[in-house]
Amino acid sequence: MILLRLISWQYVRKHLLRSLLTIAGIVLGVAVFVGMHTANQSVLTAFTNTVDRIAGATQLQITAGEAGFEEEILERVQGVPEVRVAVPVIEAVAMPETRAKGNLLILAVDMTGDRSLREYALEDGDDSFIEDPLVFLAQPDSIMITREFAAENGLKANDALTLRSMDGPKRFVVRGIMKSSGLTSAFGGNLAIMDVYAAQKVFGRGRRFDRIDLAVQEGLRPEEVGKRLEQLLGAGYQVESPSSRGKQFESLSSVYGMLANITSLFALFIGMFIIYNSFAIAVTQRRSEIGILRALGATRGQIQGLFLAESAVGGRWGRGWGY
Amino acid sequence: MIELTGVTKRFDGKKQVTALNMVNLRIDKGEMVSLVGPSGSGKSTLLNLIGGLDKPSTGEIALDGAVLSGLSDDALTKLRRDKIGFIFQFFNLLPTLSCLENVSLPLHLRGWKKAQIAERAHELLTLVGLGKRLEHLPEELSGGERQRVAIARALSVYPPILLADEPTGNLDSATGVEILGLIRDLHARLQTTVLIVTHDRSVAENCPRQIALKDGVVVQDRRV
Repeated sequence: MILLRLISWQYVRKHLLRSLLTIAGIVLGVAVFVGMHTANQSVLTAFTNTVDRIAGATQLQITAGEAGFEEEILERVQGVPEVRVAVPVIEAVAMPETRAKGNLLILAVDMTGDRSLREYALEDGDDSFIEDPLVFLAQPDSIMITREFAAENGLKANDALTLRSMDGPKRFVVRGIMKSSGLTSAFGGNLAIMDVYAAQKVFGRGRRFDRIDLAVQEGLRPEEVGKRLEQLLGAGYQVESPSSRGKQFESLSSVYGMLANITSLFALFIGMFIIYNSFAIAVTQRRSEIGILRALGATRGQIQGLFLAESAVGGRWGRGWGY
Repeated sequence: MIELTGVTKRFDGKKQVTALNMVNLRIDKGEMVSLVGPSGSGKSTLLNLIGGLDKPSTGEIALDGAVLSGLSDDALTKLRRDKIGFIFQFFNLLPTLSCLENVSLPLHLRGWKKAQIAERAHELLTLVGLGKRLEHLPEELSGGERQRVAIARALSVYPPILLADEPTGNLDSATGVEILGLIRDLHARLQTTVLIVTHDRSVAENCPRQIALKDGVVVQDRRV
């Protein structure tokens, strides 16, 4: 420790720029590595949370690829005695013509049956309370938005909201503003709810749905009901739990994660090179100092220990700042 | 006692150079010896071999019966630490450390306690006449004063052997005389074995024993 103070600290003071460069190399390597890793984890966590929040109490989801499936599939599923509730879902992403940036995820559901799976708590007050859900359903341009999205864009009940989709701009009317809850925090609050039959018309889906969300009768295991449904529907239909959809994304994103890790390792490698180079120069420059120390009785171990301690201290500072 | 038996040192390069050739030498405890000779005669090489800073190509060097070539690196370092003090022509003080810290350094390497180190360093700097310049940096001292600090550092554990490589070579003649007087005084007071490599005839003549080297061979060994 005393050698660190007498020898190393004095060297650092004399060669401040080089010492800072060494530490900056460590900071850079650690910061990029941690940053990439954190970003990767955040993407995965955000997606999983979104899937979970949108799924609500859904135990199984039926999908059939991008094209979706005909309405009659819903009737067949609802006819299965093990299924307690099954509701159709259409998901669409549109770009709102509002001041805030970012896409809006539109979750189109069957408003009459969906509340058994998801909770939409509406704001109280004259402006935002839907007195009769039938009014909401009767008008295909009805849409519910989250409180966060409303506040961000200065929207209130009965305001017009134009969304640009693949079929061109669509005009909607805000007929409900949802309180903050698990569901509304999905997709960063950029979430809107509308009636699934209106969505079929607005988004040109014909008489098709994207998905069926369902819950099984109490006491039954979802896995077993899922197998039964797969047999009933045949090939081309996937019956799986919402969490397994999250896992699918996880495996899809593993390539992205691996690339991110390679990038961060590359940054770490650059950091290591800077540190190695800096230490190599320092050792070469300090040969005479090392020689004096050896002549004065320093063992090889003491010299090695001194340089290792220097790098450990540098590494600790760099790690702390980089993290 | 320092004993060299058939010591040869070769340096391999584009052309092999024999710096020392079959040197046999015995220096008894408490002797003060000068090593003289022209440049390239092998004086500094001989000093480095005795100090364990380098290894002979062939032959043996023994310090108080311990054969250096038979020692491990750590054992050799320990022997150097406990038995040998070095004084160099260019002082080799660490420029960022004060006089007190420079003299303290070998004691830190030996793991002495802080209070003991401070006491010894103070005592040594007083011994070489620098008791009032403890906190000065080497750059704030004259050449003679720097060499005094180097001597104090070499004596930090009162080693039985003091090896000095051109200790007055970088000093003016008056300061050189002063430093030589200090080494003679310390030799007399501490009974240290002193080996001085020098080009300076007057320095050599101040030593009771003079050894002359030429082309790596001892050509003269006389006692005054």
